[in-house]
Amino acid sequence: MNNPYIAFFKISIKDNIAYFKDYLISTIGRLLTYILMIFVWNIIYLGGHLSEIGGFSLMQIDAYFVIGSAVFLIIDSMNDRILSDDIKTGNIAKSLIKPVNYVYMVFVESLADNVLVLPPVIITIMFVLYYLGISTSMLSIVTFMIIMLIGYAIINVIQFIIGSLAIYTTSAFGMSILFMNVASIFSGAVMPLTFFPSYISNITLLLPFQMFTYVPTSILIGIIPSSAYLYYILLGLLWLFALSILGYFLWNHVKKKISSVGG
Amino acid sequence: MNNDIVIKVDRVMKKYKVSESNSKKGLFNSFKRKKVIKVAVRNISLNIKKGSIVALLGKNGSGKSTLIKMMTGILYPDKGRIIVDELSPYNDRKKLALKMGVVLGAHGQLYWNLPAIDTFNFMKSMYKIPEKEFEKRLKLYIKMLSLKDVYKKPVRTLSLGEQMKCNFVASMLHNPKIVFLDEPTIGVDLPSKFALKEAISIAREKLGTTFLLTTHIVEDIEIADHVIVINKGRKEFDGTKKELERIFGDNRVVEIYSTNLRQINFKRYGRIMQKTGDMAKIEVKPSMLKNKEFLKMLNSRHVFDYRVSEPHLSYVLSKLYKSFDKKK
Repeated sequence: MNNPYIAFFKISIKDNIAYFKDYLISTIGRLLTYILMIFVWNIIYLGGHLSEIGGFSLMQIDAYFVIGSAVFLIIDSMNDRILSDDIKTGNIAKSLIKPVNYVYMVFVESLADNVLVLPPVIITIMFVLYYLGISTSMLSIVTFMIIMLIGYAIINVIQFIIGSLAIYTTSAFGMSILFMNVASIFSGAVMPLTFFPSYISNITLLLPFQMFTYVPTSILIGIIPSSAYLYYILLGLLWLFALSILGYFLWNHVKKKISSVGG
Repeated sequence: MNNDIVIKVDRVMKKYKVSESNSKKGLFNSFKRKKVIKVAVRNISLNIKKGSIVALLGKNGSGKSTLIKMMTGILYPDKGRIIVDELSPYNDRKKLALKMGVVLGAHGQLYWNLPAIDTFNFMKSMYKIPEKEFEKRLKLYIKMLSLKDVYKKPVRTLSLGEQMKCNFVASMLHNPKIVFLDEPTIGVDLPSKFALKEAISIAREKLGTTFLLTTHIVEDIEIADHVIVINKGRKEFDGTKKELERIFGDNRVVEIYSTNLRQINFKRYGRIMQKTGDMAKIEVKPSMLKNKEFLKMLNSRHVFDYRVSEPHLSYVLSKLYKSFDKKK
């Protein structure tokens, strides 16, 4: 196949495999913190003799944390770091001298990073559903996948926007950290959005962050009823559209300002 | 437009902001930085002929790389116009990329963890090179640059020179019409340097490829037909090698070998360039070669040998660079 983007995807995966062991170790490290969260919630539920908090039973909250953490792991596009590194090191020149669209190259590179994490994530999700005996419908699984795709597209655009701001600041590291911390709270990766006080959860339920963890996970484990699926898909698409327009104009402005290191 | 001209740069300007640290004393002042606008390229115009090898010279920070980055479409010029093979590099970047090869010294195209052959195959798909053509060209370059034992090993295990050669191959496989080489001989050993230069000459001969190379190394200029010198973003010289050699007039360099150098007052004849145990090198005006007193000195019994030559290019260049500093 002579498609440049497919060729780039293949060579990026080949290149990534060299770092795969490192990635696997850090992934296991991150999963450990979520296992700790499960212990904490178990104590809260069992110690307080509670059968339900915010619509979640103990079994559902356990499923939510494991699946949610797997989902949050794979949804991070890393575009901000790819772009900011390219600008900081001047590596952006490497892509700009090729007959390809730079923006697509960034997306393909991030996809090549994520594809490697996909098998362990799918295995984790299937294992949790099976082990905890959560029955889920075909419609839920399909909607879960659609929302995941929309969420992945949204985070791609947001992180691309953050990365392109590196033109002004040379490094987008601070903003990347800020975004991931805000995203982990408002996406529901720290706890389900319905656990927040209602005035906060009402706002978060309008924001795009929920597509990164809360919505797909809740759909899969049956917290969100199927009647609400269409609403979330449309809300996600609306955010994707609005952010894409913002990203498009920002990038067109920014690309004229690129000045890599050294003269 | 003249059909022979493949690159036309017309009154191009490029500025950028840099933050400079404050030189004022005091704890807080040392953290403050001021934004300074630096002009990297000032009003440069130049034409490059099809099938020529052009050396772009200049000190560090003279604006060479910025100029090349604008020609390749990586940077937008603030003012002026650039046409490369009838295309505008920044507006038709993707179209132009198909016709050009770029080796950016510090930023190789090779994948660090993979053997160079993976990058070559990637280039094949990227530039849609037909399989048979690809095999043929690859074979040719591997032979020419003796990469047989190199191109299947991971790039990280290669020496700097081997990496550079592989980088060169990666940017030549699609038979580009124009090739930009930014400091192509950094860290390259002598045999590889010769091989690289030979490959450049052969590509020009057989395919009519135009080469524009930036360099600090004088020997690299040997293969160039044309030399452009820039300093502080201004074009200071644009001409052939011969013209560059003559830039300071027809001065000659005289090497004088003598058992008793101290006896001779060289200052009377010209500028002393170098003095070692039994040799003195002086730069003299052409008229000096007919000066009776000078000839008498050369034929005196103190002097056992002498040689007259044209000044070496590296000397001319260092003199040229020094003259820039004086201008400041």
